[in-house]
Amino acid sequence: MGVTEQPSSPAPWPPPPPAASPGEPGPPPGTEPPVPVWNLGRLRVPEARASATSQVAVYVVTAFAFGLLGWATDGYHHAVAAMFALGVGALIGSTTEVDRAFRQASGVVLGILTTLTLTMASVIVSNALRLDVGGADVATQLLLGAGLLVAGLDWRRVGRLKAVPVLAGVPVVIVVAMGSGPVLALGVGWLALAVAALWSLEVDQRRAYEQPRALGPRGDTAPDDGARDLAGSLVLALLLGALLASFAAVPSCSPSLGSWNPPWQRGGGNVELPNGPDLLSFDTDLGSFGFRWPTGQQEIDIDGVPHRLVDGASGRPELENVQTGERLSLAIEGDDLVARDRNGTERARFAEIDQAKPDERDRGTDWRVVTLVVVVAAAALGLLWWWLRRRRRGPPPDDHRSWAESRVRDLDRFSRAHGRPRAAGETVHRHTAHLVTSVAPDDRLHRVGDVLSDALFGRGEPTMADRLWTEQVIHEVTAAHPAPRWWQRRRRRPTATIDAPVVPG
Amino acid sequence: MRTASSRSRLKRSTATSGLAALGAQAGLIGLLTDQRAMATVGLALVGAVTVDALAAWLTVRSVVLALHGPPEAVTGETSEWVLTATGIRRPVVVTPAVVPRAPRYLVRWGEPSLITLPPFGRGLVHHVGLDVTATGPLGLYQAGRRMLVPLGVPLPVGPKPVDVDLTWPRPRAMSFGLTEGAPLGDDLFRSLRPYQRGDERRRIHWGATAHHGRMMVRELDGTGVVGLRVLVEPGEPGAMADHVTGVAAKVASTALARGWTVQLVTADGTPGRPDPATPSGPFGAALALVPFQPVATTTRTAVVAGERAVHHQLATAAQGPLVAAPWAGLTCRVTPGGVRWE
Repeated sequence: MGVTEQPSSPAPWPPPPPAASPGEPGPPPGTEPPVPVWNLGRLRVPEARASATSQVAVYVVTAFAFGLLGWATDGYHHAVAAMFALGVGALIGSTTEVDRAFRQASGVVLGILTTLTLTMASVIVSNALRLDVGGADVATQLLLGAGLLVAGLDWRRVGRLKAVPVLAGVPVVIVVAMGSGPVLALGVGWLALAVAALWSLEVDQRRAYEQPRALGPRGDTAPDDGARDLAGSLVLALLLGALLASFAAVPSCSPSLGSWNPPWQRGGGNVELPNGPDLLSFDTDLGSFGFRWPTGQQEIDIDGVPHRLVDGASGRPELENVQTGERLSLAIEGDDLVARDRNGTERARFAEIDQAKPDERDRGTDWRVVTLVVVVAAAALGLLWWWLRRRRRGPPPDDHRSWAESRVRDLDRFSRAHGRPRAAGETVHRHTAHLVTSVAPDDRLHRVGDVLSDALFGRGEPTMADRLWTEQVIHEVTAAHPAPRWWQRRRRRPTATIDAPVVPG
Repeated sequence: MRTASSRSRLKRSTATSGLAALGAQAGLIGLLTDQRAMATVGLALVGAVTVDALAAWLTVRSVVLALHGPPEAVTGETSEWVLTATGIRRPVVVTPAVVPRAPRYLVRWGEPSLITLPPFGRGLVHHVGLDVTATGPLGLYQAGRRMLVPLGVPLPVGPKPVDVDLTWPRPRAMSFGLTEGAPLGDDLFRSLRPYQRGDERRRIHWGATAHHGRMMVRELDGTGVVGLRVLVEPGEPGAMADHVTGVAAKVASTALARGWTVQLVTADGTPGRPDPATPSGPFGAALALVPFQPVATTTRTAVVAGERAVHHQLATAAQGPLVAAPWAGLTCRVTPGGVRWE
């Protein structure tokens, strides 16, 4: 039987469009079947709104920095003006929708640009009109305040606010560097505030993600990760900072850093002199240095010839050969004190040593070093223990047998807590039946035993619905029959059964 | 089946770099100038950044994902999956590495939860790419891993049936026999039912009409088997190929609903189960998976029993020559040019 030609149905869609070359625009929409969007974009963090707590925290961090700056420079009025302007801007930004205007550019950047623009404009105008602007402080506060007001308007986006504590850290570090008094406490206080603000912003950021729908009974009770995160990172950061600072400040641990002084800090030192006095103190002041010694003139043997320290003609110290009267100039080269003759030949080199006197260095135990070593050793041991524990445990396997073993362990734990541990050689099914008659009169445990027994020894694996149901039953039975206290075990009463859950699927 | 996973990678933001640079400079200057306060504050800043990076990295490192999904999926439609994440210590964000990117799920617990995956392309899906990311407590660092989570049974992603206005040819018997709902002929009496508008007058059962007091007609089954062969030529992979296979699915399912025997002929692009290579990191481009061979040389000819079989076969229908034995029944060829009856 031949194939009979039948009337053809017309194509219900237009012919396929010709393939467009890369970069060439496609046909107009509506003339072709819908083309799925093949988005190859990168992972992006969704835009999140900062909560009121986070906004206040970031503002406090910034105001704290302004306050520190005002305290260090005695410019309290500037600091208060800055706090006020930023506060007003932040208040407006958080109560209105004005932050939509900052979608393309950050408020901080626009604030800086505003201040710069206004400054230039005011300078140009005052010069052109030959105005005598009285009260430079007021002008400065107005210009600064205008920028901070603009910066405060963009005070709702988490991504923008995260940069604010970083920027606020710059003046804090400067104040801590140049200030005196309780700068360490103030700096640490600002650090704690900044960490808290960043943590609060991160909590807000997490709220911007989608939440999966929970199937298990513990879906609505997420673990409390917030407070632990905040406390952990704050304590660890401060401990690490203090540890590193003290570690680097111990000379024996960091000789290269501890013994080096930059030129502007080089105000004195101790020079070890061979065959002479052990230490000779001298003062230097940017190259022209006098020197002093404890008891009159000191003699130094160089190549068996005694030399003594004298004042040179230019006021610089020199070494004079006691026998010939030849003088050797002294100069600091690198970290050493070098004696050269008139031809520039090096005749002696004195190495710099620790500033502490030998009798002080050798006196007693340096408890700081001991403490440091103990702390570092404890931290290393803790890390080693943690790493070995994690390595031994490893990620939990995800097969149905290990799942069933975990559930059987849950039941074992439950029965042990009630004083009726699983007997040796008792099957899972018999164990659950025993639990029904003794501890938890819930008939669903029979089926739980079936599911677990099949998962452990059967050929197939339990369905996801069975898994969920089993976990739910175990959870409910465990919750409905709490373990009795030791004083309750003698007079424990049977508890009521609970309603059966709906089997999913 | 192993879960292929990339190495854990860290990504920092501009603010993080600024904070780390500020802390490092302050710490270094403080150490060099022996200013203990400055050194402590600076190094504590560095410590905070380091702790954040470490926490993020450790969070991502221990997570293992498993997916349980539907038995089949349709192109252009999202699907619901049960996600089980084990080894969770802190919240992680799970993002499908397939396209499109959204949505991103924040998973806080290890219990199974329901997520929606974006539409897959037509084909056979063996693995689902998921990007797992986590931030530190302060959100300064983002750590991530890309996982190719294997599916226990490959997921066929078939076309969505497309409604078309077709002119169906007059059916003819291909053979004779008793088949369920054999449509052609009136050889076998099946039942009586009330008259409906459009019923043929010759089917009126006058005796039953007199008995029931209202018009009754008889229902008859035929013994002529109507067969339809659907030849599917989707053409180049892409939207048009999906459209063509969608039309073929509609034609086949309509014929099945009429009780016809449907033979589907496609060029089979079913791939073997791939051994997934280690994927790249999560912060680059998404996975560009091609779930089936775009061009195939093997012809798959099968009498489909239901819509699921149609769906499965059309999921891997590819471009290629069709070679099939002679067919006595109706034949229709579905191509990008339209539906043609032969």
